[in-house]
Amino acid sequence: MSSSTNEMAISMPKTAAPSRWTRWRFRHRQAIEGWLILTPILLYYSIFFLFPIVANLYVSFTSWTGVYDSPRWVGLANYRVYLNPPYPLILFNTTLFAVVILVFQTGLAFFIALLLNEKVFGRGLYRALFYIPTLTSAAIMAQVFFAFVSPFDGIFNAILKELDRPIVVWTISTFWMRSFIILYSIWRGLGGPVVLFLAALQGIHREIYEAAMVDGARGRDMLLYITLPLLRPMVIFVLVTGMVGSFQIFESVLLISNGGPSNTTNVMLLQIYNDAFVNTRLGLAAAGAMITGIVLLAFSITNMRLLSRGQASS
Amino acid sequence: MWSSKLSRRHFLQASSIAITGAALAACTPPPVPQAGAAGAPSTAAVELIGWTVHGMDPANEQFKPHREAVLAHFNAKYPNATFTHMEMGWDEVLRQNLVTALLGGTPPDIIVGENYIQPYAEQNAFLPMDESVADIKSNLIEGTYAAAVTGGKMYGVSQLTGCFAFERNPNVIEQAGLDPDAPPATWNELLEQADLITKAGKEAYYGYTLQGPVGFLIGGILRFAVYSKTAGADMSKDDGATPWFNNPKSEQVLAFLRAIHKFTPPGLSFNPDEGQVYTQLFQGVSAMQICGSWHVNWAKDLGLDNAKYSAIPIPDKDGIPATGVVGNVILSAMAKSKYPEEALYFCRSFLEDDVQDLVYPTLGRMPSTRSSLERLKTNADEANQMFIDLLLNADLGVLPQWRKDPQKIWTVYNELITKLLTTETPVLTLMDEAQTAAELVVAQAV
Amino acid sequence: MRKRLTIGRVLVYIALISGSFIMAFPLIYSLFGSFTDLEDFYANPWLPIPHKLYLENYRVMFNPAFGARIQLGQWIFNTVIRCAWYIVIPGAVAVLAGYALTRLKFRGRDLAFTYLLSSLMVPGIVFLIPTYVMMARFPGAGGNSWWGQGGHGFVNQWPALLIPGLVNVFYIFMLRQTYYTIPLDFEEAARVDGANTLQVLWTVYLPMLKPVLTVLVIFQFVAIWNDFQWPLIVSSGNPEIWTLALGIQRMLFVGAQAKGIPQGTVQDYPFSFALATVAILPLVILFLRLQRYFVEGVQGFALRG
Repeated sequence: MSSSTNEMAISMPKTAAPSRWTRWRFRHRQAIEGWLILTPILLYYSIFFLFPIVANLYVSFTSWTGVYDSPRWVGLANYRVYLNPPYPLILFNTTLFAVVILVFQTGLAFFIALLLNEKVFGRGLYRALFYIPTLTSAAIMAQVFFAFVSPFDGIFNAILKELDRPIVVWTISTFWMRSFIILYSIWRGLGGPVVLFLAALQGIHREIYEAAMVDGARGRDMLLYITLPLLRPMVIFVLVTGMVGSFQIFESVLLISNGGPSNTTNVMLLQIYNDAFVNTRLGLAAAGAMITGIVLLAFSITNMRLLSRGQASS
Repeated sequence: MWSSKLSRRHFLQASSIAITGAALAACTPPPVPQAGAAGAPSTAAVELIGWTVHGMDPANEQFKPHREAVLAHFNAKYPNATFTHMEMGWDEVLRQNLVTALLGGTPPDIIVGENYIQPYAEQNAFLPMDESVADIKSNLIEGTYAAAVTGGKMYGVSQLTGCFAFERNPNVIEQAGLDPDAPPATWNELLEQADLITKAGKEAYYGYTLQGPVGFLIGGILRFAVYSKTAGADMSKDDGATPWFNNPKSEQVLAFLRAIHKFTPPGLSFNPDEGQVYTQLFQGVSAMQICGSWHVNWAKDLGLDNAKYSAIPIPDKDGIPATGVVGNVILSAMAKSKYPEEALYFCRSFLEDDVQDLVYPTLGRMPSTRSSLERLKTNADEANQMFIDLLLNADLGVLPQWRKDPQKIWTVYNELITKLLTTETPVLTLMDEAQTAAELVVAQAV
Repeated sequence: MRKRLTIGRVLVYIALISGSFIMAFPLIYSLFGSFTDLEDFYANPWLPIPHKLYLENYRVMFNPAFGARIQLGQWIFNTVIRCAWYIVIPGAVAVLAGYALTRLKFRGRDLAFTYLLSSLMVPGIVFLIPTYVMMARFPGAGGNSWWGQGGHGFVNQWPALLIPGLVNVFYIFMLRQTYYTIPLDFEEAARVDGANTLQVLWTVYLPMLKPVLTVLVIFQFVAIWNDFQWPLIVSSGNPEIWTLALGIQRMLFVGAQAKGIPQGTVQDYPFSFALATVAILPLVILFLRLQRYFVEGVQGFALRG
């Protein structure tokens, strides 16, 4: 910004020669401003974010019930517990849910946005209906959803009974409970990406499509070669922001399946919560939180790598 | 959209709200007056804080007589003491609040609980109560405070309680051609009746409702424990500290559960929603089930006016009349309370006769002292008589409170039951598997 | 322009209508269920159809004899204050921080950003207890000594509901991305005219940041409106400062107690649904009215971001 610096220098009032202090302040004004803004923020952050993370790290190396006792150092013992069942399964579940929910949610949202992009009547209403589930309270909606899958009297089974087919006991089936939790999470999270994709789609000028049509491109070609590439930035944004969320589902697992048949829908956040408050093992819970953080970090970095590679090539 | 003028107005509005908020913050008087310096309690301004103490919420008109009775006793000995009630939730929520408060140094003086008393007591979280209730101890029903006993000492008293009985829908039974006034007394009778009813029902109704295993929830387990108690089969050793899932006596219990499960509505047993499980009987889909004392009113709410109640069927051989304690609220005094004497006496006030007599009329639950139950019996309707009888005379079973990792141990047990109900693997094999898994969990507790 | 009714368009409509129906069904279920009594509710699994107009679930909310001091007005007021506070402060922080991290050049700038970013990876539960302890042991507050011992700090008081969470790294990230898409010319022009930083921010950037700020406002509003775990831990003891989400959860607890049912066993679903409807209705109404702004905001953000 040397041009503006010069302009600034020229526009300074010509009074007595500036002192060294003033000149120093002037030369470093960006740093001064920057730190003026950032210092309180970083301080606040250090107190409310960094300190808990460090404290959590410390606790993860201790054994502590939190009931009038002091943390007792045990080294890596808590982390070793994560090598034994059921923890590997829990880690697997967490990752499985995160990836599947993200992929299907994004794909479905994209598809719906494409549909809504056609000049349909009542688009605003549809869009609102897709978005409202995101506004609801996770806890209460999970209980409503349970009404579908309740093995005896649930809606799915009522339908089966109407069709004269035997009922399915959804809640002891690993496959069905996992699928249902995934469906519920997608239901809740669909709205955001739909709105984002729709907005991005509407930003593509119609002329591009018209020009392509003149060149003889058909629907599918237009989708693959025009729409998708132009939407890449938005897809990236949705994937990156969705990853953090989908790793942290909690209420649905707690209220619908309770960790599911034999821990098969048990996820990290649920187990951490249980370890902390029900099993009174704060050290183990802290270790779980650290592990979740590391896994999430690994995924995010991989995500970023994949995406920046794609970005460079396009 | 917005002009910059509008956004400035918006900003001003927002900041004025913020400033008002901050001013509010400064002006709000703390609801909990400062507890003063730690040290010897003064005779003035003693304040006890209790969490979720049933029947003490000043905002609830229904509870007023009960609340006043308790305070009358309390203030008779400590005229300058006050009690502040805080509604802090139940189960996980209450536990979460308690753990956070203990870490943050803001625990209450009095706390209630149902099934985490023993582990906390062993961590010296509560004050022993033996001395303060020594004179009325014989009036207390042991099963109701057993959940608070560890190492030979009592760390809480039961404020109110309830137990399980056996419930039947006479309409369904009659429809199936059986006598609605002849409850099954033994397991064989129960199985026979359930079989006949299920056959007669032809998928419109079934003989029995079994609440089965779900994740780590203990709803179903509470009922299994009842049957276990009638067979004298303990699920644990050492005051509930060590799991004993392969107790030889449990074999017949599990075999029985497997048998009765065949007469239940398909799919119902694995339903996580306890409400839905038990309402099937009210709707005439099932004929018999174990029930808690709140079913009496609940059934009427859902349209079943003539439900019948009886004692729980016991094993044909060596069975003991027994039931399980449920909905039993235990009152404990926290060890680091600033006013231990007052806290203990406060807990004791709940056991006075006039207070206990108000438990049923105002709270809809059962009192836990013998004298009060006897009095209640004389006026109770038929249904409630059954529950009172059981509380007074039957063996009261209590669910073990695992010291570490209770959630994981109950998951092991639920898996045992799941395999029991969905496979034909021999019972003994399943029991041994479960015991091994449970021991592994205990061994891993760091 | 009339569009031909092709098979394709019919399919599109079918997909959209059935899709939105599926999305809306749980909400419809909940709404209907709130008007049933227990008998009706369990009678029909497909959709709880009230055979009689049953307003009891809603009426009890206003009946003081029922239990928890139900003060919807107070709770909504508290929630609105919290929402406003948490929109303005984190928003301002994000705008300032975004500026500092993109427009100013100084050593350590990118390091500072990475430092801030680290917290996003850690699950929220990690912050729960330490923040509570910090509020409870705040030196000098609520009877605490200067070392923070002895009293209860800010627990059950307004500051505990207003102090944590003022720096939101996600929003800082979002704003930073947006700053990058704004050309520098505007600021330079303003600087030439002699504006200082605050004026530049106010007159140049703020209008251009409207789209992303709209998104921020809505996300944050919804988040704080529905936030109940933190108020639960930190303000349960003082009903004067309860937020709507907490109050509603509280009504769920107390409902069972008032009926003599041991808590945690049996759910009074119709009542839960009534509470859920009350909780979400303001948000839905707000969203429907502001939908246009929201979408414009998102669009703007999407195109530039």
